[in-house]
Amino acid sequence: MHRAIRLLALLAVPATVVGLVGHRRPLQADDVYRVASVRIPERGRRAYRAGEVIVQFKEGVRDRDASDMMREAGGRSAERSQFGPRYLVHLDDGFEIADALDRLRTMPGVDFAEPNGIARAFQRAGYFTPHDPFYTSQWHFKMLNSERMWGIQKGDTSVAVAVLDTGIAYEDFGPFRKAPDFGGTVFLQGHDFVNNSDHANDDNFHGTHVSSTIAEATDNNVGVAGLAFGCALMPVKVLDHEGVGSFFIVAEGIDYAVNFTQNGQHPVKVINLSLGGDSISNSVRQAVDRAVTAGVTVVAAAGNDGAGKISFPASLPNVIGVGAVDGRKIKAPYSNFGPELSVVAPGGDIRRDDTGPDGVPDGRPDGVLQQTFDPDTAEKEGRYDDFHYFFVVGTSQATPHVAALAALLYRQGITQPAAIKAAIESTADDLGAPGRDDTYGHGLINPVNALRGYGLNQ
Amino acid sequence: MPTVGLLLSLLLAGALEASPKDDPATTKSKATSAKATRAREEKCVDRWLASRKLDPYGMPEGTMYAGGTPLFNEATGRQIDRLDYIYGKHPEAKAACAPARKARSRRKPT
Repeated sequence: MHRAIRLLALLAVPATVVGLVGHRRPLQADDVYRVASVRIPERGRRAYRAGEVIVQFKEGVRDRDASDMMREAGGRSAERSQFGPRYLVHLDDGFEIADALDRLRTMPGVDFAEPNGIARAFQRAGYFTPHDPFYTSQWHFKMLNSERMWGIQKGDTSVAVAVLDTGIAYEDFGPFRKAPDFGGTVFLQGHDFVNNSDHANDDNFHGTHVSSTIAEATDNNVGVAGLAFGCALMPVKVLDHEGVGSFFIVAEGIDYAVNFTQNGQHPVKVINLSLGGDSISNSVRQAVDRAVTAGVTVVAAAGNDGAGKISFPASLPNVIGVGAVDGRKIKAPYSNFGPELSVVAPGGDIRRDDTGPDGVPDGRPDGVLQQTFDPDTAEKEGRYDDFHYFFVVGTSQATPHVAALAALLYRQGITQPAAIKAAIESTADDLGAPGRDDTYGHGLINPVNALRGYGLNQ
Repeated sequence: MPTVGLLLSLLLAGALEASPKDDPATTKSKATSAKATRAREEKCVDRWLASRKLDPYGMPEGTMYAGGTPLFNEATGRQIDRLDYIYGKHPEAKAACAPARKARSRRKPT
C-alpha cells in the first residue's frame, strides 16, 4: 500500500506540472527518442517594432526577385541595407509580423527573416540582459549568473564549437529547415558522417536542442537565449535519427572538426559530445588525444543511467565530463557519477518545478528550455519545420553549458585545453561533500568566476 | 457445538498468524528472492549479449548513444528497464533467459 502511494505521488507530480504547461502526448512503453516533450507556445511580450520585419536574402538573389518575395510576404515598402542584401520591410496594414515571417522563411532565396527588435541603450553596468521573451524561463542560465557573465564575455565567431550529435537545424535544404531562432548565428561547414554528406541536418531533435544552448541567437527578441551566442557552431552529424552512432563515426567527426580550416585558421576550439557509450574505444580515445594536442577542449556527457559509472568518452582524463543538477542544485536522479566526473551543470528534472520566482512553482517543468523541431511531426509527417521551445532534461543538456563556457574562456585568451579544464574546475561552486566528490565532481560551474579570473575584459 | 466453534476460531487465528502476508521475514525473503531472480536474469542476458558481441543494450559493440544510453528519454525524463529494452529488440534473449517474464517500466527513484 505504502509503495502504491509513493508510486502515485511520483506519477502525480509530473502530471500536475505538465497539465499546467500544455501539450504532452501520452507516454508509450517503447518511447525512447520519439517523444515530443513539453513545449510552450510562441507567445510572450512584444519587444519589436510593429509592422516591420528584417529579411536577408542569400547571395546571388536579384533585387527584382527580392522585391517580389517581400511583396508576396505583405511588404508595402522596403529599405535596403548599404552593406548587403538585407532589407527592412514595412508591412501593409492588416499583415501580421508572424505571418510575414512564416512566408519569408519558406522562400528559397531567404537567408533569414526576423522581427525588427527594439534596441535599448541602457544596460546595468557590467551586466547584459537579453530581450528574448522566453529568457525568463531559462532558469538554467540564471543559475549560472548569465547576465553578469555576458557582461564580461559573449564570445565571437573566431571561436567555434563543433557539436557532434544528430545534426543541427541550421539550413533550408530538402525537407530540412533552419530553426527560426538561430537567426544570425554563424555556422561553419559541417559534415554528416551518418549519410556521408556535407549537409549535417538534424533528423532527430537532440542536436538542435543541444546547439541552441550554446549559440541560439540572443537579444533578437525571439524565443530564448544561448550561453555563448557570439560564438560560431559547426554541425557534425555522428548520430542517426534514433540518436545512435558508432565509435568509428564519432572518431571521424572529432578528426573532422579538429582539422577544419578557414582562412588558414582552425576555428573549432571546443567539441561538444552529448553522447557516450558503455565501453572504451581506442579510435575515439586517440581522436580525443589528437584534439587536445591540437588545442581543442573536449566536453562530454557523464551519461543518464543514474549509475556510478561515467560514460565513455566523458571518463577520459583529458575530457571535461559533465553531470547534471536539477533546479535546486541537487544531483539529477538520472545523472551518472564517479571518480572521473569533472563538474556539474544544470540538466534539469522534468518532474520537478522548483525554479519559479522566489522558489515558488511557476507551472513549468524544470527542463532546459531551447528551440528544436517536434520529433513527432518529423516522424509522422516527415516535416522538420515544426519548431517549438522544448523543456528537455539530461546530461546531454548540461554538457553544452560547459562547452559554451569553454568557448568563452578561449575568447578570453586561454588557449590550452588543460588550462580551460583547470579554470572551469577550480572556479566551480563546491556542492555535496567538501572538496571534490564523485557525485558533483568539482561542483557547479561558475562562469563569472572562471571568466573574471582570466583575461582583461573583467 | 461450542467446542467446534472454538476449535474453528483457534484454527482460523492460527491460520491468520501463520499467514505469510503479514510475516516481515517472509516479505523480506520474497524481496530477496526477487532480487536474486533479477540478478540471475541479468547475468544470463549479459552472457547472451557477450556471446553475440553486443553491448549492454543489445546493440553492436562500439555503439554510442545520445546522452550515453538508450534507456533514458531526455524529452520526458522517463527511464525504461534495460531488460525490457533488450527483450524488445531481441525476443530470443527473453526466450533464453526469462520465458515467463512480463514487461514492465521502471522509474528511477527521486
